[in-house]
Amino acid sequence: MISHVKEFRARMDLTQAQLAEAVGVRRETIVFLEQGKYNPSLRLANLIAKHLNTKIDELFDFSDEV
Amino acid sequence: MSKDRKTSRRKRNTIILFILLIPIFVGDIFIILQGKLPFLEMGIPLVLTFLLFITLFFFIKRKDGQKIEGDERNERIEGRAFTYSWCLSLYVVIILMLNDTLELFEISTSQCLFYILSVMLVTNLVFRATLNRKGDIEN
Repeated sequence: MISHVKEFRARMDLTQAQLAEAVGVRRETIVFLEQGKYNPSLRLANLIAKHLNTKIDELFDFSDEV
Repeated sequence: MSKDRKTSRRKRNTIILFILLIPIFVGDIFIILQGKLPFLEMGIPLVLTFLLFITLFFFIKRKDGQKIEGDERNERIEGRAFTYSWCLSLYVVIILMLNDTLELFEISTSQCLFYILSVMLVTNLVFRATLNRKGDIEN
């Protein structure tokens, strides 16, 4: 999984801690998410996408797993 | 779930846990007052109570501290750590049963309980820390 969370977060000028607080998770979860090491639930992916004003398929690229 | 409801549920759980500890404390006091048991046998229930208190302390501290309720990765890690530690404890139970059947070492019931609970507690903490370092626990 390739994650684009970091780019979108930078565009919104948010820190990892701010995003984590906004979506109700720990900062470590955002860290692993940005590194593409953690597969979020649909609920969390949707929440992050909403907060970053984008869509889930733009945030996460699963093309390498298909 | 609202924050108020979560807080009240947490308080209720803490009270329940403390109530559950009362009989253990009463038992400990009786053991000490009677003083009939040998030192090792008398120490085990006290060590178990201490372990329970440490667990409870960390449980309450964690709930009131930095842990964010509903963090899905946290929940997955906790669930997995409990499963692994439970399985390892079961393994220890089997070993102890084999020991009893083959009569290798003489172990009292309270010692057995001490070993099982210690393994359960220690492995849970170790698995939690290990899984926390990993990104995705599904990998």
